[in-house]
Amino acid sequence: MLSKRLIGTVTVRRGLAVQSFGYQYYLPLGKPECLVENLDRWGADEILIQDIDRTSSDSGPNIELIKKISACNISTPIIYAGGITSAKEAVNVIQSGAERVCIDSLLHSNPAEVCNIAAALGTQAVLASIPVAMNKKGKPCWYNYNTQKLKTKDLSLAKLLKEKYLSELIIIDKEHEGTPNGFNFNLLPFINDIDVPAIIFGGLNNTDQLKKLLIDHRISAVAVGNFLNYKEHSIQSYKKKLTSMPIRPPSYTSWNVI
Amino acid sequence: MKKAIIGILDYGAGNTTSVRSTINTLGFRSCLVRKTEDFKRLSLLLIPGVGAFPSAMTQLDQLNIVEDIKGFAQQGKGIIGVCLGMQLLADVSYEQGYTTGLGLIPGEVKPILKPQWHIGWNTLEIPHPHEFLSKSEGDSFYFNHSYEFKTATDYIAGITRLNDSVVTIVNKHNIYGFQFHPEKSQIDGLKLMNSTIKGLLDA
Repeated sequence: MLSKRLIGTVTVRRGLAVQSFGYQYYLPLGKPECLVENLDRWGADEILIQDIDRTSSDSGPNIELIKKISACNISTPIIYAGGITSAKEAVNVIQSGAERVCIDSLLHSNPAEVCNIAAALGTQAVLASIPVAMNKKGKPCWYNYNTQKLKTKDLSLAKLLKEKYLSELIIIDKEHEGTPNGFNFNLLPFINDIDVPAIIFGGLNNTDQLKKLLIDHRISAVAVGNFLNYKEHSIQSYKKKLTSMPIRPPSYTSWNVI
Repeated sequence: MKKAIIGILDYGAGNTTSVRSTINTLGFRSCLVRKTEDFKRLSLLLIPGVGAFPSAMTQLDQLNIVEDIKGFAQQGKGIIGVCLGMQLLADVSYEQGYTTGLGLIPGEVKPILKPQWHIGWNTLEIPHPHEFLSKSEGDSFYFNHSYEFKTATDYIAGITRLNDSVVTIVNKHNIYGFQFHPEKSQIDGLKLMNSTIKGLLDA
């Protein structure tokens, strides 16, 4: 049976892994590759690297970082998000060591290029990052970091979803990202009419929240960021408490089996 | 055993770094393969692959190494295809149109109908006892594909349950294909890769 996933998220800013609080305040954690190595050893199902200032600084994806991580002999699949503006860059990200790419700003600036990325990599390798927040009327909306406005409808995203150029959406509670127990479940209607599995991220730290999300048939994975860094073996700890869920059991690496 | 050289096909459509790290972790020597001369010293060829079938075949054609791969198989040397690398072993793919494959294992690559993607960790079933694959029965592997390898029962060495069963290991003589990513499947992946390489080198 296909398992749902617990994804470890590493947020990178100016080349350093950081704790993020609503993508507004940051505390440094250290070298991204060290955090990725931890998540790999602890048996994360996937690792999401979100390099959050690559678009605003117009730097493109951080190929050097991906290569550095790949050289650490990581045996967990990597999703890379940050600064991807073309199919050529997306291919470079994959060839440098990631398994999948996540598109964010490009969805607003040049959605047609997302089709080219899907054609080059296959749709299964392409995800979209969708920051969501409530509008004044209490409706969950897509937040555009470029314009700093909320969108209720977006035809280009709807087209990409309908024509299956995206395999999963990462739904981010942008306001509560980094806030313990902060995820706003009122955002979930955003995925009601979307025929693509969702990964939920932002303000997730307790297992009751995770269980509530993992039993939702529209949700394929949950992603946890800051809260994985507070103690050793945090992935295994979460998974031990989620054994009743359709999730891969905790993994404890042992070379004896080889 | 340690003197064997595992060639990793470097044709611009695969994550060679991760695959090579796995091979090296297991204690084998490896090299990248890009041209005809590179095949001469190999004990085994590994074909990684991430991306779309047509562009991958175009890359192989441009490197002019399709016949080298076929010749390597005919010599009875081992070949392991991983993910897209497994699909390239087929006769034909319908991804983005009709594209001829390497034709090393009879079969066709067609879209997964429902659900449309197979993404994440899933368990492996080995339908018939196998010298080294059976050790991985019930283990979990990481999948990331939207097309599947349709082939005759004779060539099916592993399956996985989605809505229907999906062929996830194909085998013909010295040639194996894994639809999942053993190099990204943590300890279970290392175990399978190790037993397969040793099994092929010992054959």
